[in-house]
Amino acid sequence: MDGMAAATVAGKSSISLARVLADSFRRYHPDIPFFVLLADEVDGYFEPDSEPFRLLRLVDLGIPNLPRFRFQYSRQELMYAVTPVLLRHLLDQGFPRVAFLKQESLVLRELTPALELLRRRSIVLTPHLLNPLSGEAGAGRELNILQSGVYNVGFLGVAATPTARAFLSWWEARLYEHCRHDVAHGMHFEQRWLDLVPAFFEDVEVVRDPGFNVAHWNLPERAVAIDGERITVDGSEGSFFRFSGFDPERPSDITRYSSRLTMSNVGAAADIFRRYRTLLEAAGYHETKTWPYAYGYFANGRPVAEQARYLYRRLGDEAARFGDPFDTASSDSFFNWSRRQMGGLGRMKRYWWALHRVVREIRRALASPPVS
Amino acid sequence: MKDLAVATVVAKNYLSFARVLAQSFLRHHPDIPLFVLLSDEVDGYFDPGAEPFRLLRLADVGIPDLPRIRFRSDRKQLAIASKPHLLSHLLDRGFGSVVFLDPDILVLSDLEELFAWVRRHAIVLMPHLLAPLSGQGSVERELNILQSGVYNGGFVGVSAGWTARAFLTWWGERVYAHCRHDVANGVYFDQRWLDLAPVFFPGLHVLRDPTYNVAHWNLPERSISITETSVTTDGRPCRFFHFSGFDPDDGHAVTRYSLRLNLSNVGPAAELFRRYRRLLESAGHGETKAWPYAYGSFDNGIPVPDAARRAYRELGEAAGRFGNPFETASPDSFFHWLRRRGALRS
Repeated sequence: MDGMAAATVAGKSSISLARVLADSFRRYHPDIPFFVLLADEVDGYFEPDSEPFRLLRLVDLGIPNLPRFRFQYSRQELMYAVTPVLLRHLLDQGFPRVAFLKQESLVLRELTPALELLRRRSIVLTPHLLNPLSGEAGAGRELNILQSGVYNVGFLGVAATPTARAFLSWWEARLYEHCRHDVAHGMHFEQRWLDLVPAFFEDVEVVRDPGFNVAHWNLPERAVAIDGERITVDGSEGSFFRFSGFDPERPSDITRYSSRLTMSNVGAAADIFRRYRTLLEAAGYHETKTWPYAYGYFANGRPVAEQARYLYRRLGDEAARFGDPFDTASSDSFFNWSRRQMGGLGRMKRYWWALHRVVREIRRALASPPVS
Repeated sequence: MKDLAVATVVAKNYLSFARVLAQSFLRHHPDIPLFVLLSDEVDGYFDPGAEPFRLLRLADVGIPDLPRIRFRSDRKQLAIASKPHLLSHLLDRGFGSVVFLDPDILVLSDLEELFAWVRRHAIVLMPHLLAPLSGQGSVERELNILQSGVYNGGFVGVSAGWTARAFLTWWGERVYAHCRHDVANGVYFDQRWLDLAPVFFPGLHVLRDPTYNVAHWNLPERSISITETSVTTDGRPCRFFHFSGFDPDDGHAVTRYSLRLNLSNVGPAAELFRRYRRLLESAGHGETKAWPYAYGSFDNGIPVPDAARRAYRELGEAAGRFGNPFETASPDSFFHWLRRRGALRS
């Protein structure tokens, strides 16, 4: 695959997922370098050189005002928000084509058909669903997809073309401040923005292979069969499985996003979930999951509450006056300012946030888009 | 096989819009039939034979469970939910291709190129926006589109075949059950469902051309120029303009959906809004806008409140026992059931 690159984003606590994904990818594509962007700090917890991937750090990527970016988002939001930055960086490094794979995935054979699309197209997307679902239960599942995005960021391919560059710089600009879970306002982290891609850019291809991007949202429609090492889905080669919402410590559940699906009702696919759990455990899942998130704490070790991130975000450009928001030494620091803002009394704080949540819910309920 | 038909849907109070659409279309395509589905009853208010279009009634187009859907839906929902059935009906009548246009569209030049796209593809849709926005308000405008749907439901083109049929069946089922304004749950009338269509139906073509469907949502990115005889968009003939949310009785706004845009800041396009208002007025807007909605009242003349429609929807299949929900004579009617529960004032 002359010269292309593959990549994912992980935090320290999910590094075992990145290890499993990188190993599985390299098994079938030993010549393609696999990069992991750490949306976190190493802090001595692991040795980057002994990992099965090449480590990239946030500071390598030219993100403007990085301290602000790391502070305003939660761990999950940050991981998603850096996706376009990672792809842009790898194109800047001279890779002619780059494939992004989300961390909770497993490669089960060559991804060549999907990767080859990038020789002809600027942008390659994968949808959650390939066909209409049936009945009212189907409508409910389709509505879930309309809330979270037609295309799934489990896989995303770009080629070094002006179109893909334009796509990445637009997506990066949007995610700088608008990578949040706010369905009523049209956002589902980084993902819903992709719904606009086929309208905004010519030269977009959608992977329509039932063996690719198999996950809880399409498992009920996909017939998975296993014969030794060979996995087929609807008769097509099973190449790429996704484990969105899977918790290795709850081995009878497939995903926390659906109570309908369990190990006992997904047929042969259950075996793939079991294999994945075994691989995660062998990759140090139980140890790494406890590793702390570097941007989860102020400089003095106090945890950064969700409310503090929210308050900081609301300040917009005004927040610049605080300098590094993790800093706690100066009386002009965000830490000290926000404590004064939220008041000394724990009870008052709780009232303030309860009220804030009510107001936010009302705003969401009233959100009415202008349209046709 | 008959080649192609164009269609729209209105209630009586929008009849002047349908007249203006039909006149503007037939000026360029006098030989292509234009159908107007009335999601209402004529009730003697106008003479269908004297109109510039062919009238279709709800009973003609095979909408399932008609007496109930007329009650379940309000005026806007019923018109929108009828669209997939209207298109299926015209395919059933043997038209090879069918183009739906919203009634508040004005055709400005011939649509031959568009028809050629529709003939070549099972389904054709048009996005609201064709490129990333820049400048002030761009994020909010893109988010508005994500809330309401990437593709505009004001234009849908289909050509006979399995794919178009599968699309219309699926879309028809979805809007029958879910045609409402509920953005937090992924619904914006019929329109957000279309976001899934390009993935579900691979024969679908997304037409990205700035000369079609110019409207408030893309007007800031379009350069409009108007002379006595022509309207151009970005230097090419503008094919059709969509006056979504335009109220001819409001002398200043161009759409009720945007506070940013008004007649004094849309540039040369303002003249087009003024012309459209004059066309609507000549087509009887002042009279037709007051015509009553036939499914807006019980058969004793008492208006059907939204709460009654909601209660009826929530009953689901159980509502079947009431028979015709507009009927009020029988003590077993839905009307009396509501009244016994204090949901209707005496």
